[in-house]
Amino acid sequence: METIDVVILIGYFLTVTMFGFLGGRGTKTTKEFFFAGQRYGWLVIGMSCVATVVGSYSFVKYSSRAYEHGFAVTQNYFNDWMWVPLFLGAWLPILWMSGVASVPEFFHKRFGPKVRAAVTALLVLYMVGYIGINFWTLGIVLNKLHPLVANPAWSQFMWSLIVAMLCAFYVTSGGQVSVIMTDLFQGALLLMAGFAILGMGVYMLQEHGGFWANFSGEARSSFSPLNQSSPPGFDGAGLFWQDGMANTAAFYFVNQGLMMRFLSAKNQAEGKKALVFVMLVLMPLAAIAVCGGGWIARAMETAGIFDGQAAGDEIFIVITHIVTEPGVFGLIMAALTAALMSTADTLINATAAVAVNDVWRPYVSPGRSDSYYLKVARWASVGTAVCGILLVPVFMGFENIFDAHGTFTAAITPPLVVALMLGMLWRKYTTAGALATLVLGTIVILISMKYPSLIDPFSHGIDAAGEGAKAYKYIRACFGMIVCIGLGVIVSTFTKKRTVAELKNLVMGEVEH
Amino acid sequence: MTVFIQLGEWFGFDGAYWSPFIYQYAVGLILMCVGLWAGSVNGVWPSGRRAWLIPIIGGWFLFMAGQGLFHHQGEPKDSSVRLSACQAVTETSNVAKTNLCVELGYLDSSRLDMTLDHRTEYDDVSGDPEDLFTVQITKDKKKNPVSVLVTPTGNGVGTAVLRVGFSHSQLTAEMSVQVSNDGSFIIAANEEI
Repeated sequence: METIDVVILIGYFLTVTMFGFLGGRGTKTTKEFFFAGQRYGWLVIGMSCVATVVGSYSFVKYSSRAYEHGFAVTQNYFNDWMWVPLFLGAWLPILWMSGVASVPEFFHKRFGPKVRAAVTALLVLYMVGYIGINFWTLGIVLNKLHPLVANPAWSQFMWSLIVAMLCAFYVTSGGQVSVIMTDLFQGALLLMAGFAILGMGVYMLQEHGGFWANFSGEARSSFSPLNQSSPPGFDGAGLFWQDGMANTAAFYFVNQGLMMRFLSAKNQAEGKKALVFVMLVLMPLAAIAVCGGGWIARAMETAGIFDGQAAGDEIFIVITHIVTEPGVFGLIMAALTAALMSTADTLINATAAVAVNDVWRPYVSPGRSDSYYLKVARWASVGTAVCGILLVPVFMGFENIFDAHGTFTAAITPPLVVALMLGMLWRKYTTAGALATLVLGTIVILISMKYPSLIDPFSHGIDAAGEGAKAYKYIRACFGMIVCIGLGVIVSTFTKKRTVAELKNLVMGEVEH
Repeated sequence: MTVFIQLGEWFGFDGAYWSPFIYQYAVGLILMCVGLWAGSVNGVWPSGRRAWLIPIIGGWFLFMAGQGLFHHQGEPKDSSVRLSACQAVTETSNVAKTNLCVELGYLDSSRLDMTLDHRTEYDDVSGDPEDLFTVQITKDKKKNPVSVLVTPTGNGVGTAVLRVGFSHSQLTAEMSVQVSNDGSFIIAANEEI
């Protein structure tokens, strides 16, 4: 890394941290801390969502997979559209009309405190895990650029720790206002960075027959084969269930961070516009931005410019080095940092919201002043960053970021997604049914990690490709969702339903127009 | 055989190149319909607010068209499987050589060597009723093929047929394998159409 790159990267770190700190210094209440005073229009919400949805791991893991599988990697982004009507038609009206401030609070109103407790536990695990993945990604990248110690694992961990401290600093001070302001800036930067790499790579390939000619044959397919990909581990059916069904639903419906972002809009119509703008316009652009490095690498390998020796998660950095000049390289690395900080800050703020609104305020210390809860929220932000860091060594056990992330979300998200969908759409879904979905569903998924043969009937013919938790990495989501639906439906059939009055503004058909 | 593969076979798209596309859009359509119905029940798009449906339904068609276009670009070209005898290549592994080559052609005229791809399926049974030859596939620890070898079984002489298919495409090809008296054999290339 050249001196100018280091200067740009450090300058960027400091700028964003100060930007977030100054933007959020007027935060005086928990409503401002978590919902930024509900004053933003769809464009600000939409652009800031991009930075939240695209994590630093996105650039690294999608470039790695795009290099191996070409356009097929876009299936992970291009399958968001199918959730648009459910979000607009069911979830957003319920959120606005029921007046809930968090996902667990919705479950409390819909089912009672036991379900809220189960959801809170799973949700915190889901969000802290996401934060951990982001920290680890940047640890990998920064270690590649500048190792801090000889041991790579320790060096990655130390870099993760430094980034976590910076993130926690500005989120702690400004909350959601800081998050939105920094994400707005970072969303634009990371899209520009992705397109810059693609553009510079295409320009460089012009002397070698052009990008399209070198990006040939199977690389152009927009889907990987349903149950056998080459190289293995990227099967269409598994990806569809893990990413399209479980992860996308979890990200847009269950993710407290996204929910708070849409509730920061000044009204419901602005929230709807923001969602349509994100899913139909910005996500396709983001897909191109995060995959571009891998596509360029693949075309360059065919053209003989790139030797293909870089390991999977290093592809993005190596290609950026090839196509950029000193200075620009630093800026691209800054964009990667932007992606991390913007995703992590949202999740840190969201986890703090859950800690305050769903644990501290109702159970630990009810009836205190708002300034007291604001203080707790700030400490919760620090605690969340620490928990994210503690999960980094767990993810280090996986072969690459894509696998670690896929395995994690396929295991954690199905009970949450199924409970929310049934709770939102089906009046006869009972408290006992929801508990069965969340608790028994999670237990069965954990058992499937010990005995992967349970997943065989749902495997679509995909090879287990591993043992224990590493077997059936993606298609486990299909197994989990079907099991959770089955448990919820069976138990609800035989247990007591709630009255219509109790379901007002909480379930489809009972929402005030 | 899993439940889903059996279902796929019943509907006739198991192993077809377009099956992941059909799979995503079929399941996605169900979710779309549920969402549209929910919005209708919740009064989100009554008669005055139907403009919301334009980006929703239009977006769906746009994604389908875009993904379909690129997926078509990466489709193996019809009748583009090329089978041929290869010059034996000495490998460092235990099995010494690969004497069969399989290539798949694409719309943009590029070709991909599929000989050692785990999606390539060699059928040395249906076209060889007298069991004159066999295809030996050696795999590494990760179950990836490292060598594909056609060898006579010693059960007699004559001509048999080797068929090759793919798990991700319904393209197939066949070639004749002629085994002679002295145990030697000739692999005839298929003719690319």
